[in-house]
Amino acid sequence: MNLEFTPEQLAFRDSVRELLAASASPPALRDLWTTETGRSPALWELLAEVGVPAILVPEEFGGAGGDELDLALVLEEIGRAALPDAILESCLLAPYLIATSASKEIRDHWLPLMAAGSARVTVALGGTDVVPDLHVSDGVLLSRDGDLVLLTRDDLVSEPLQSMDPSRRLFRVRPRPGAGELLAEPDLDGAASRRLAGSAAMLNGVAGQLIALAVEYAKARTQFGRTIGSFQGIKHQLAQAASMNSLARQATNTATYRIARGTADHADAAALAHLCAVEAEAESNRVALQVHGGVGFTWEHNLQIWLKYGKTLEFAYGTRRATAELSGTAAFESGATRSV
Amino acid sequence: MDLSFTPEHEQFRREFGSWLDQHDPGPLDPPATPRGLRQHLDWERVLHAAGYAAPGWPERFGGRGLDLWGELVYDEEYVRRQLPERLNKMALIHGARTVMAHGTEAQQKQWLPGILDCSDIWCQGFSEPEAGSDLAGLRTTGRIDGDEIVINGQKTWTSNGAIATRMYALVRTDPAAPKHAGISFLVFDLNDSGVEIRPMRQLHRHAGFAEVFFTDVRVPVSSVVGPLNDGWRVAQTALRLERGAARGTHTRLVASLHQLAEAIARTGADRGLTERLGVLRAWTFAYVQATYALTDQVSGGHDDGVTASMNKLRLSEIQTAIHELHLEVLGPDAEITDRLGPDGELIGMRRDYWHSRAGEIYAGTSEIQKNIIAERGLGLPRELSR
Repeated sequence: MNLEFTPEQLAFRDSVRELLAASASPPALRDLWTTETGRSPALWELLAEVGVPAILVPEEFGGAGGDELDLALVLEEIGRAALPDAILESCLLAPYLIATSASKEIRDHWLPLMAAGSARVTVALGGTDVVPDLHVSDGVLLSRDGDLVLLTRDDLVSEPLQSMDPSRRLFRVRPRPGAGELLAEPDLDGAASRRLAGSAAMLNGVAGQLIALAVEYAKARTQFGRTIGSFQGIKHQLAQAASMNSLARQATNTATYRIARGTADHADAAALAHLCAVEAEAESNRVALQVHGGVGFTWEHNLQIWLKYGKTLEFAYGTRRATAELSGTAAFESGATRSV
Repeated sequence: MDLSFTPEHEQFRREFGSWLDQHDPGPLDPPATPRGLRQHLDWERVLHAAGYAAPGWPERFGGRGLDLWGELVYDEEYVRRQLPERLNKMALIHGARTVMAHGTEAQQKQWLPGILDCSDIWCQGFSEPEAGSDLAGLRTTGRIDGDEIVINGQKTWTSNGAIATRMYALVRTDPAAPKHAGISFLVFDLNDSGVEIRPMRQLHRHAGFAEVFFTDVRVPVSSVVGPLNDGWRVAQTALRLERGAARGTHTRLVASLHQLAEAIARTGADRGLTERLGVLRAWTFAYVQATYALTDQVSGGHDDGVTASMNKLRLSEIQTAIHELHLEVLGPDAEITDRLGPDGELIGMRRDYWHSRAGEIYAGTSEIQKNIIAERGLGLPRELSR
C-alpha cells in the first residue's frame, strides 16, 4: 500500500501550478472574458511546452506515454486555477479515445499533433450536441448512439451559446450529412469513467480553492471587534466543507488509480468519486459565498470566477442525480464490478 | 501509488481469516452480565493463546510486531465477521499504546502482559461531569504526598468501568498551574480502597458505562506515565489514536451500508430511495479510501493531526445517515422489535442506530473535531477564551 503520488508527479503538479499562477491569474482570466476567443494561445503554448497535452499520448506518437494518475494532479490544478480551456477534452478524453479506438491512419495523423499541442480535439459524449472550445479546436469527437465520429470544423455547422459562466465557450454543433470518420468500436465506457474521474479531480481543485479563498477572507475580515474566522458559525462551516473535500479527493485518487490499472470496478469507482466531488464542491461553493457575504456577490470580486466555474462543473459531466442512481443501482449488484 | 496489500499482508489475512472462521464463538452475552463476562474472557483467552490478542504490539510486549497495515487487515477480518467487541478495547486502542510510547520499562513490564490475557481490564478516566468537551477543565485532583498520590474526584461515561480492574486517567496534580499544565496521566488499580464504581446504563439500555468516584485513593507516584504535570501532552497520543486509528470502522460502515441495501431491496426501491442509497454508498467508499490514506500518513510518520479529525467527523455523519435511512425504509416497523438482548438491551440495527448517534459525541464531539480542523488545519483563529 502506498497512496502517495510519485515525486515526479508532484514535481510536475508544482510546475503546472506555478505556470498557472503566473499566466492565469484572476485578472488575466477576467481580461479574457471580453476577448473574441476568450482563450489565450500563449497559455496553451506554455501548457504544451511543459507537456500537458502529451501526457496521455503513447510514446510512439511523440507523447509521454503516461497514465491517468499522471494527469490527475494536473486536472486538479486546472480546477484550482479555474482555467476555462477544455483540458479534460483535449488532454484526457480525445487522446484516450483516439489512441484506443481510431484507425492507424487517424492515430498517425492526429496523435503527434495533439502531443505537441499543435492540434486540439474537443469531445462531446453521451449524445449531447454541445461541445466546449470548438473555436480553438481542430477536431471534434462526437458520440451518437454508441458510435463515435471524428469531425473537423469544416464537417459541421455550429452555433455559439451563452453560458452563465462568462469564461465558458460552448457551441451547439450539427454534423453535415455523411461527414467525418467513424471510429471502430470506441471504448465509450472507458471514456465515461475517465470523464467522471477527471472532472472529479477538477471539482476537487475548485473546491479546495473556494475554501482557501474563504479561509483567507475569514482571517482578514473583522466584525463585532473580532476576526470572523474565530466564530464557530464560520469556522465550523469551513471545517465541514474541508472535510468533505478531503474525503472526495481520496475517492478520486482511488478511482483514478483503478482506471489507470484497468480494474473491473473502475467505472463504479469513478461514479462514486464524481458524486462525492460534486457534493463536496457544492458545499464548498455554498460556504465560500456565505463566508464572503455581500462582497462575494459583487461583479468586481474574483470569487465569482470559482463560484461559476464550480457550479457549471457540477452539471457538465454527470449530475448528482445520474451518478447517485448509478451508485445506488450498483449497491444491489454483486461481484468484481462493485467497488464497495 | 500502489493500492494493493503486500503478499505478506494477504497471507496474514488468509491465515487469520481462516482461524477466525474455525474459532468464531458466535454471539456472546453483554460483558456487563456475569455470564457474558465469562464468555468474553474465554474468547479473549482463545485469541491470546493463538497469538491474536494484539498482533500489532511489538514482539517484546507479546505481540507479533505487525505494522499498521497488518493491524488494518486484522481489524477488517475481525469486524467483517461481526465478532464480539474486544473486552480490553480501551487498553488496546490507546491505554497500552500510551504506556509503550511514554512509560518506563518497569511500567511496561508491570502493566502490559495483563492486558493481553485480560487478567486486567482497563478503562479510561478522562471525562468528568464538568469536563466533557472542555477536557482540560478536569477537576479530579491528585495531591502528592511523599511517594504517593492522593486522588479525589469523579470520572464519568467510563466505558467498561463496571468490569474494569485498572484505569488510565487524567488527574490535576498541580492546581496552581494553567489549565493544560498541571495535569498528569496516571495508571492505577481500581480495587484500591476509596474507589466507588456506579454502573450506568446507556439510552439503548446497554450496560457498561460507569461513574467512578475517588475518595482519598492512594496510588504510588510510579503510577504517573511520562513526566509529572505533562499528562495533557501524554494523553494526546491516546486521543489521536482514538480518533485516527480506524479499528475496522470502515469495515463496519460498509457492513451497515450493505444491510441498508438489503433492507431497501426487500421493501422495493424507487428512484428516490436508490439515489439516496447511492449518495451514502459514495461517501462510504470515500471513507474507506480516507481510512487507507490516514493509515498511509501515520505509517509514513507524517500524520498531520487533522486528517484524523476530518475522517472521524465524516464517519459519524455517514454512519448516522445510513442508519437514519434504514429506519425510514422500515417505516412504522422501525420502532417495533421482536427481540431484545439478554439484558433487555436493544440489539441489531436498532442498537447500531442509537450507537451511531453517540458516535457524533464520543472521542471528541463533531464540534470539537471542527474546531481542530479549522484551527490546526485551516489556521483560523481560536475562540476568545480557552
